[in-house]
Amino acid sequence: MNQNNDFDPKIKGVFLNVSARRQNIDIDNIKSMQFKAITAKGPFVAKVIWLAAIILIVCLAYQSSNVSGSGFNKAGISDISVFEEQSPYQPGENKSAQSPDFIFWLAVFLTEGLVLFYIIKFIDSIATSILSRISHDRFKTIHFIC
Amino acid sequence: MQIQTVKNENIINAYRDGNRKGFEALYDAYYKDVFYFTLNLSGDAHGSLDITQTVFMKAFNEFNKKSVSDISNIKAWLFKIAVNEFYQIRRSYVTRIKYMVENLFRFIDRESEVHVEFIEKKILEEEKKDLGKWLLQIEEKDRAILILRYYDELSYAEISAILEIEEGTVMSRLFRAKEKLRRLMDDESK
Repeated sequence: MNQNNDFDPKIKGVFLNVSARRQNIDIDNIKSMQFKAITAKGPFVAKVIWLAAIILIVCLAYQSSNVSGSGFNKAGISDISVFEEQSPYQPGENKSAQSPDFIFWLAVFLTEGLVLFYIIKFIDSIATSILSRISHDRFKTIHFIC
Repeated sequence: MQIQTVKNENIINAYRDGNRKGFEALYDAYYKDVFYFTLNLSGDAHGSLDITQTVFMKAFNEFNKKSVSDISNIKAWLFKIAVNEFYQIRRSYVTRIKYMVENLFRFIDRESEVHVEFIEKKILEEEKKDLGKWLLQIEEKDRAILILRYYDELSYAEISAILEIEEGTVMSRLFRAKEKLRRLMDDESK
């Protein structure tokens, strides 16, 4: 069976039309952009690590703010047994109350830095996008800020 | 077909060198093929760009691991990865979440979004007219065969290897897909 001759001409014609139309669509920009992303060593893994880092920072900040406060927050306000069983709070007894403060401020610092970085990047992208629309050559405009 | 074989051999040789240029040759030669194949399959420009990126990312990672001599037909090999990725998105919640995270970061990365929007607009203008619309009405498995046969002009043996089904099944599904497409085309022309 000659496989080259078993094409339905009508159907083949439709596919050829689409193929011809696609010759006019320029996808080189996205192609080169994806190439950079692929060869930049596991971009998805990097993003997941970033996301995990942000979540960790937020969790640490939340935890340390609770620990450094009174015992009510740590146990939960609905847990009545805490009033019955816990001995009165004595200064110096809770050693973990000192170290979380450092973690808290470090977490705040890192989170704010990260948020600021993405805000700048976002503004930059919008500015670039607007500029590129004005300049008619939307894919060749240099970044406005970074 | 002979030109295709020479092209394939050159790329395999470059790929065998195991350097970045080898991958670049592969990428340049087959990017459009993979992208348009996944676009035909999914009818979604955004999604097909994601799948295309994943396909080449896997190819890039295989570079240093897999013995290149195992791959006799690079195009078929890439298409096989693309088909598997496409079906995995349909089936797996984990993969869907992965793409949702990708899209979340795309919101931040406005630059790539501008490119994607441009391509999507262009493709929507072109594709929603006829074939793109009809293909989505054909069953997924039959659709893949029709595209591989009529758009990418692959042989039954290659299609059978990509989809991991018998050649006889390829032929019967292709027949069914063609019948369906003919009906859709006739309905449109009435």
